[in-house]
Amino acid sequence: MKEEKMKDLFLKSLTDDLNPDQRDALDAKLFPSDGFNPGFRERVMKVILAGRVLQEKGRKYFDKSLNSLFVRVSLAGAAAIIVLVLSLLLSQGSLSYDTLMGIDNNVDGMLVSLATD
Amino acid sequence: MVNIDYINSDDPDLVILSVKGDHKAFGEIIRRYEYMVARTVKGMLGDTQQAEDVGQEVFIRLYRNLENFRGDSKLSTYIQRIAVNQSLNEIRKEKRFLSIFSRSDDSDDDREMNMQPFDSEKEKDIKDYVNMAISRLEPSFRSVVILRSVQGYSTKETAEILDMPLGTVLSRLSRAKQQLKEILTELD
Repeated sequence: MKEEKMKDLFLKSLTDDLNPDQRDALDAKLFPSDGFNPGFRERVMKVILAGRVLQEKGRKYFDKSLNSLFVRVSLAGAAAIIVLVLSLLLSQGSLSYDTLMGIDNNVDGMLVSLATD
Repeated sequence: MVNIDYINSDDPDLVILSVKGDHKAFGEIIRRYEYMVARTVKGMLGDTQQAEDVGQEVFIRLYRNLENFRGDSKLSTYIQRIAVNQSLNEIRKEKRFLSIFSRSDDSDDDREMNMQPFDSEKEKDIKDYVNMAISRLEPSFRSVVILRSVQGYSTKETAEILDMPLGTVLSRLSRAKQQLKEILTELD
């Protein structure tokens, strides 16, 4: 097909529907379907898999960090409670409910006197 | 272990398998649509490394958004839409870059600069002329020309892919045709 005719066919393709022969001629001469460089699919898959692996690694790392943080906080809390109990035991000589709560034996009398004043 | 015949699987099946993490299924989707995407992005951006990068980005975006693909339209339509949008984004990005780093009269960007220049008189053939003419169109006109003329979609399908009214597509095609006529005459 002459070049001038191809040009006209191209312009026609914008507004009119081409028959299959015309379409084939246009594709062959003007728009041959060459893909990307060889190995395109592999390159895309590599990027996708690398991203996915990173994402999974990131999620696992986050979970692990959160777990270890939780364990550390709970151990520190338990240790603080034990130290507190031991210090109370040593200073007060016993571990009554009032001692644990930090309430003095005279507190009832104090409250009554405060209320009546 | 079940052997899956990826080559003979339908698109919706490949999508389901890909969402479940079957990367071979997604590889098959790339194989099926690589040429289609190449035609669109190369038509929009020229036969450049940039076009290949955008092609990669199209499939990466597709992969990320596969869970949201409900199958209301064909997978090919969905991919075309991503390809056109990514190409338009790339053109906008480059325009912004040029407007920052060059004088205003230089920033009148045409994708033409990314097209291979004609090295000699004998290299000029109708394919180069037509691609050069398409590259001189405004990006919004270029996208309708690529879908309609290069990919061979109907005007209705073109409107669906670009998510715009049919009337707009028809009007853009008509104006693009007029402009292409003038550009082709100028290039002769």
